[in-house]
Amino acid sequence: MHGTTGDSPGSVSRPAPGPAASDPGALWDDAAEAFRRWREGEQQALDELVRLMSPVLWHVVRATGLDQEAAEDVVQTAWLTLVRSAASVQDPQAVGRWLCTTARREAWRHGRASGRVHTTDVEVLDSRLPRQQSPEDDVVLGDEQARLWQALSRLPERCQQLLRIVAAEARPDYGSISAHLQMPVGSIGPTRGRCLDKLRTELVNSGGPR
Amino acid sequence: MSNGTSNRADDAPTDEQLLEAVHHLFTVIDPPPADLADGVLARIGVEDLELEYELLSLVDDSGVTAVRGSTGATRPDTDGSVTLEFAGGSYRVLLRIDSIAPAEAPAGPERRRVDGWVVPAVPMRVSLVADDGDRAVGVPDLTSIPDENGRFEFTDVEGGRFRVWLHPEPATDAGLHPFATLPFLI
Repeated sequence: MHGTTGDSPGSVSRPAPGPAASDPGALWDDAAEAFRRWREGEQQALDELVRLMSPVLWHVVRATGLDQEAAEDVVQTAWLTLVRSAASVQDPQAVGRWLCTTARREAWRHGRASGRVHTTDVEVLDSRLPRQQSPEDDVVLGDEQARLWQALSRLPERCQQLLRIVAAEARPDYGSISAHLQMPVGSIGPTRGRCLDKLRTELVNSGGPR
Repeated sequence: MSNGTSNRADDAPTDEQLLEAVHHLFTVIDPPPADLADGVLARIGVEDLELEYELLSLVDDSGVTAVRGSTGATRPDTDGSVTLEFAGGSYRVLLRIDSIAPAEAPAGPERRRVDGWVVPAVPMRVSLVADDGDRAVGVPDLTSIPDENGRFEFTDVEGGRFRVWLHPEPATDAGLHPFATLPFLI
């Protein structure tokens, strides 16, 4: 199943820089800067902000378990909320977080209203796993990623959900996720730590070739 | 490289590395639709148009010869008084335009007085905005705050093409866009 890699079982491959997790500080800064320019009347800056933050919002919203169509709708709604209430964003520096929190709340509200949230959409994602890949399939997970995915899917559902949420937005507002996860704010951090430990253990157990 | 036989702490990825890897995994297996941002921008564009203003159209122009439509030109008849009624959305606006007697406004361009009523009488700002082709550069907007009966006035207006704008207070109707009448001649 797995190809040979030189890495130790517990390690994961270095990911390419992703917008949300690898350097959230720079992303928030760019977003804040574009938002300021837009509020000062530069229309083009809104384009920049949308292109910068929409992929991040996508992952934030998908992490709540919405299907793709609903997720796209919710991302749009989050942006409309920003456009309508730009004045209510008191601190431009916080616009990235504001958007993520707004999108997540809207996603959960939407999910409750439509009953479309699944705690995980394993079926959908499983179909993209490498064992089913075809040569022309451009979504091909590397061995390390396949191993990570399989390790992740062996975790308790709650862990899967929490890890996907905190991976989508580095250091999210715990207050906005505690109610939905039915976890007190104070226990989210420790739970995150335990889930990551479990993931590390699963990665080791999945071993890969010696 | 390690010997791959143990989960030694110095081999194990840190929390941050692991989360970064999870994030990257999802960017690969669940990428956003290619047109996600374009869809957002299109939706914002539509919203902007809707947000711009809601039009109040001319519903009545009693006792005068009025020209309707986009020109909306309405001239007072001989006794110098004209009444216009606009409606749309949730508001109705009645305007009475009177010539100011020559004694009060001697030579020079024609001057008018505009008395208006807006229904419902909710907290708002009413402005009279010149609507001539070159955006009426130099003609300041006139603003009036309706009283509790919805009555407002502009006491001395130089003739020209105008629109009345209603800017309801946000507290009255959260996130409300302004309303504007069709242009009319004063």
